[in-house]
Amino acid sequence: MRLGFLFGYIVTMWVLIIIGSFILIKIIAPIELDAGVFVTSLFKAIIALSMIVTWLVILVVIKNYYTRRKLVTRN
Amino acid sequence: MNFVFAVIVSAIVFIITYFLTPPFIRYLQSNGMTVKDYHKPNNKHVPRPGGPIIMISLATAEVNLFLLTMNNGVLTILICTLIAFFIGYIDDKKIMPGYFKPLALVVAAIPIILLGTYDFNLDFPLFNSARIPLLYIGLIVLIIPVVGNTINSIDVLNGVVSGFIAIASVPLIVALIMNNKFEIAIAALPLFFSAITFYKYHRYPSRIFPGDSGTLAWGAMYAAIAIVGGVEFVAIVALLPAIINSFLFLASVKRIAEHRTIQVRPVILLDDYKLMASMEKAAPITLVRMILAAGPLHENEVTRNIFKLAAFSAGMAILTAFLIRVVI
Repeated sequence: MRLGFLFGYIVTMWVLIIIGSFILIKIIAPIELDAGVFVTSLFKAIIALSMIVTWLVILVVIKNYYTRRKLVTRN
Repeated sequence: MNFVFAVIVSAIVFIITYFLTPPFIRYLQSNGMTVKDYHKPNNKHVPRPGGPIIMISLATAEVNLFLLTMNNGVLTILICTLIAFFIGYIDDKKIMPGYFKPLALVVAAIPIILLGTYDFNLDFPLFNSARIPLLYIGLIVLIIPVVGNTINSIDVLNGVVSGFIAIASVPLIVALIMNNKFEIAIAALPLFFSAITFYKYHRYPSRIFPGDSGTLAWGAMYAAIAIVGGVEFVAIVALLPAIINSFLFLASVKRIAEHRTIQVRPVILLDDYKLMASMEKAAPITLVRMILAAGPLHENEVTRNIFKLAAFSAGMAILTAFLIRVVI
């Protein structure tokens, strides 16, 4: 199926959005450290950014796997 | 009363776009304002930009809606769209560097912040909302340029961007109605009618191209509606095919670059005017190249495949709009 990979890619992105929402709202947002508001916010921001980077890496890895199989035949 | 307003703004956009585009095409042709359509035989040239007609129709509808409702959200959407249109028009008239549009579009985000027509409670699907007052202002500054350029970058083949916007605006309108944001939903109707009416002239084989002025106006308007109406997640999901296109391009090129500056083309034009995916490792990955990975297709067949992806994403966006109302 010509669009199979792209439909799968859209669903993967959507699932990552839902999982990301869960992590942000249910895990990261309630975190409270005894180090003050600024440090707590900084800590939450770093975890959130790390999650976004991880999601991007997952999407790039999937993209690279597919393009190596289907699109690149010579250098 | 809302129904009457909806009919008025929709009719304004439809009538202006439908009846003024043909004379505008003749005006552009007579003034030599045409560009080569690279996927057509006989060195075919197509009038560009159609942005001014798109903007006139959108502005007339939104000004009338603002006068009828005095809703600041409508005014914000109008100003944001106008600024993006002028940025695009500069790019239509003069070749600007790749960073120009993303940077300049930050200006289009300012009216939203100044008029305060946003809600910093971000509604997530399934897991309630989060209050992010400072971070949300940063997101506004980011969302307008990103969405504007994302829509701009999907303008790859005849009829794609107008058809895509028409499809992607449906879940936006549905989500706004579900959230009882009726006036913003009515403000979104001109976007749908502008895109679908312009599609009549933009579809394969194109009689006019929207240009950067048209695509940036549509993109910024889409983003402004999503922010003012508080349906950001629905908008993101509806735009996923365009986001994938930009993401694939950036991930392969690894810099912000205009498509015209790329040395190795992602798609090759065959002798029978079918499109074939490039097999060069150095060629950027794009949505069209991915679609063509399974074999060559005619231009309008690629367009139909992009519309299938857009319709699939629009369905998922409507599902997301329902999930935002469900809290587990």
